Amino acid sequence: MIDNLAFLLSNVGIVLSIYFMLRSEKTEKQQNTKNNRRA
Amino acid sequence: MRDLIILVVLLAFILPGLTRPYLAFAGYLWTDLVVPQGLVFGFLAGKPISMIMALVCFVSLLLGAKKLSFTQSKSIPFLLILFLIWITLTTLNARFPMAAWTKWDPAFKTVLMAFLLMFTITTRKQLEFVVLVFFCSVMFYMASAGPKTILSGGGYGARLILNGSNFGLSESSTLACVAVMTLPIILYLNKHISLIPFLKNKKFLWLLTGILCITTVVGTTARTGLVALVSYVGIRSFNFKSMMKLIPLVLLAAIVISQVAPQSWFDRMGKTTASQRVAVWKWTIDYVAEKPVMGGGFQSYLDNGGKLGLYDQELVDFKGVRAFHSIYFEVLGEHGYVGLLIFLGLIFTTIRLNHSLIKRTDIDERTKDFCMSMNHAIYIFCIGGAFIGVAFKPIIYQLIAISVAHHTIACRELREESS
Repeated sequence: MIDNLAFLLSNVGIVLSIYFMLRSEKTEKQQNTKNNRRA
Repeated sequence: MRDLIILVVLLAFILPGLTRPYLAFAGYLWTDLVVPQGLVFGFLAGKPISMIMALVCFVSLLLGAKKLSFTQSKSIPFLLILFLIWITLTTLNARFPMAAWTKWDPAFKTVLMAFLLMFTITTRKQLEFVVLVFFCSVMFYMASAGPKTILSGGGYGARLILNGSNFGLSESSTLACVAVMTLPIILYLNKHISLIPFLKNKKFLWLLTGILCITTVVGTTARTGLVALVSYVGIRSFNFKSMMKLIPLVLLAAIVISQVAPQSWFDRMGKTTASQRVAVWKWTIDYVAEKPVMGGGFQSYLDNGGKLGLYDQELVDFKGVRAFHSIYFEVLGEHGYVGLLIFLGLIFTTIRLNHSLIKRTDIDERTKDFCMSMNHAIYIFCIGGAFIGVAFKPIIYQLIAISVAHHTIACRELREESS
């Protein structure tokens, strides 16, 4: 029970990190496109 | 269910990772630390998860070659390559070839992947992401062992980790050492995490992870853990200000230990079996005197069968073999003085690299704290590792790779600021 919970929590942390990383990449890309258009 | 979770994580790494080398390598780091193939019994059982992740890494290197960057430090990549060549040469010359090649395989992969990892991390966000994957991976062990210690008190030989056997980092002394190594990383993330904004300064959450690490140290009843923990307190107390900040943490650790640790823990801490280790270390020095350059190759401790009685009276009738139980004697016995020199060179150069940033006056607090946390984790590894044979476990090479990548990013930021 504890093992499975630990396993789940650890992997939720990893998936969450991947999600936020990809989201931050997307935001950065959009920002760059916006800046390029303005320029 | 566990298979399903692993599949989700694998896909989350693989799909975007095909064109993003840092993500693919973070996935490999996860498989290296968590060893998911040892945890599955369903449809993923027997599948070469680690090999699949390694393949994804190489595909990502091809597809995302433009996203790689050269490192600022040239000495560490050079030393890693030298180390790879050297451990291969000593294996070709090994005393026990079959056993040596068995250990060479994971050791070579570990060093090679760490070498490649440092070229894939090119931005601060990516670096933080890799550190988070590292943190979440090692926290799997602490989140497993910590609560069990609180509930049952742990104990020598107690099954604290899923699957129980010596897979990944689950061996008790290794686990205790890694638990202490995680503490400086927790302190850094608490203060500077930016990738997952809602986790920043959530003191209670980070304190909880710290408590899990300390209870894991207690639960393993490994003396290595206690030595590492005391050393970390010592390292942090170098100046008065840090010492004052540390007092609540020391008090907390003392309270946790006094409440959680059973009598058997105090009994075991008072016991000493150091003489047997010292006997193996003395034997190693004599053994290497005959082959100082190359050593005996991987697993050369197998040669000490029946010979340890010469070094310890207690072992006169002992006919079996004893492992090195020390990273230094492990590398010395297996790869000779040249191997030890390269290994120490790697660690020393990394510490110096981080230190070179710490002592600069023109860098921000975040960079300084990052370097400090990396150096503290490496110091703990060096102290704890003196009593456990983990020279070829991935953790130290991953810390080296992360430190080198961080140095490159920090130097680039400084150049951009000044121009």
